[in-house]
Amino acid sequence: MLKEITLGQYYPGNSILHRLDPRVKLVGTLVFIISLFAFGSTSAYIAAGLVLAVVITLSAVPLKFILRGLKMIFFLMLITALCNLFLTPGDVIFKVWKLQITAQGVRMAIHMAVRLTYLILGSSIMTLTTTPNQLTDGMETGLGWMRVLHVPVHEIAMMMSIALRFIPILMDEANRIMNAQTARGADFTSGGLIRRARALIPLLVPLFVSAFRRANDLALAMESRGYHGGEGRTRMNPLVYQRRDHIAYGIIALYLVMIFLIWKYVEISLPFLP
Amino acid sequence: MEIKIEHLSYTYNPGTPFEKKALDDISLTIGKGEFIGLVGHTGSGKSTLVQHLNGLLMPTQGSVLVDGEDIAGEGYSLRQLRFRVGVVFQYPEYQLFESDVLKDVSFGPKNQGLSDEEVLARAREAMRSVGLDESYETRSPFELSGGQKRRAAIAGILAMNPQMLVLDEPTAGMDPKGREEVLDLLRQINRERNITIVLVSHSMEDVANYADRVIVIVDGKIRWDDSPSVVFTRIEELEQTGLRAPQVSYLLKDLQDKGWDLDRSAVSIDAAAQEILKALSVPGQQTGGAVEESGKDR
Repeated sequence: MLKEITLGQYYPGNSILHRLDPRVKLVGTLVFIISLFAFGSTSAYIAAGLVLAVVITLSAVPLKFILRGLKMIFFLMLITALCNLFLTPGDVIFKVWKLQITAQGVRMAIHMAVRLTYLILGSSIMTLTTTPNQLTDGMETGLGWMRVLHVPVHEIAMMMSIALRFIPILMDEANRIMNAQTARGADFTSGGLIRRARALIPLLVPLFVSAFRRANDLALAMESRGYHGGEGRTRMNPLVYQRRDHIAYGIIALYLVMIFLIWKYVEISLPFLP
Repeated sequence: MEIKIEHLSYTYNPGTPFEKKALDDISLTIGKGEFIGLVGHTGSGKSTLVQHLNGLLMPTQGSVLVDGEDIAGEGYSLRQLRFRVGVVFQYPEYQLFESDVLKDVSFGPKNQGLSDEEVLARAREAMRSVGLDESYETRSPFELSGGQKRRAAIAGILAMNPQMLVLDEPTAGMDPKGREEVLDLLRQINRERNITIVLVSHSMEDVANYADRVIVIVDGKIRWDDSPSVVFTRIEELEQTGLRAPQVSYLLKDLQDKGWDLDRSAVSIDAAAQEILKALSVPGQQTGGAVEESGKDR
């Protein structure tokens, strides 16, 4: 039951995308997302889609894993599309009772769906090719300048990596406690909503107790090894830009210019798009 | 009750990159009233096997028969099986959740659907048999010491009146006195109530001292299934599989290598002491420095 939850969805591999500096991937994803919202036209979306396809191919992650992310937001996408479809004012092409569909609405709904799909695919590619630790490392180093604004960058990054690290541990623990309580005759799967919620108490109480105990142990272990926050802390594997990272930045910049030009000057109107 | 395991194999995550065969063609029979020690290296499949005994896991291949009935059969009540086969998992104190010890111990019998009086009677009896008196009934399980928590958790299983008790490393992380108390308790339950005990342990000494039968699992297969005196005399073979024999077995072997006339089948300290005294009483026995030297090796 708990095994179906797949968080921290890193897909091990050694593709060029896996080897890129996490900062490059973060910036790349950000640029990609911004481009989706800033330059919204059919032509720009086709170009962005092609780029995305190339990136997915380069990552060597099976398509199945990438599409899994889409499943989770299917309903969000559906609702967004429907809202856009029915609530956008403009030239009415279809009308039933108070519901009306406009040409602009259709256009908006399709654009929104494409945008969301690209957004999820783009960020999935980043999390699939970057370990959670690299990701937080990249954030900490990449956002270091925010410390000037008194943003506790290191602390946030540390909290993130600890939280991510503890997901599998607590999931294991939950499984173990569930087994132990099942062995005592606990029943997690039958009965109505209230009965099921009550049945969770023997699982949740020990899980919380264990989480606090582990947090306490971890804090002690960190302090006894001299941890005192981010001030003056050095890294075992500092992030250093390689040649490929500079090239990747170049490609990202090129992508931005290209998408801008396509958005500005290329007009594609598909027959099914009003 | 009798549990018969036939050609059991179990594979974790079949058909994925994380596929792992944990048990491979296991066949064994656990009879009523036995005291079995189950030993094996970390990751050998002991815990996986244990979870088959009360139907938490179902065999990938083969079958588990309880009194002749297949637990994977349609309509078989796994819940009833779990009341008959009590499993105490590793670090059972982490499963405590109620506001006081008595309520926590009552959780199992309450799930069995017994009347309130009977639940109370069973819980009290279970607490008494693990050595927790009335003063503990109203205390929070979270303010007990480690050893007391462990005992409260074992009482929670005992209160279900199981016919078989399976314990996964019940003495892990306990002090010598606590260990002995828990193990003596198991022996007492086994002898007085004729409850079958399956003790999973890393401690060869514990198994040698308490179990009548030892099952050694190596890489998901049964390597030996015999009495402790037979298994623990195979010191070299045990070591090849990354395990060890009890310390007295080493002592007896060293003495025998020094030319003592000994029977090496003694595995408990008491039996070994008897054996050594017997050998010493034989006139003309070589004794010079042998004991001291063998003590140095280990």
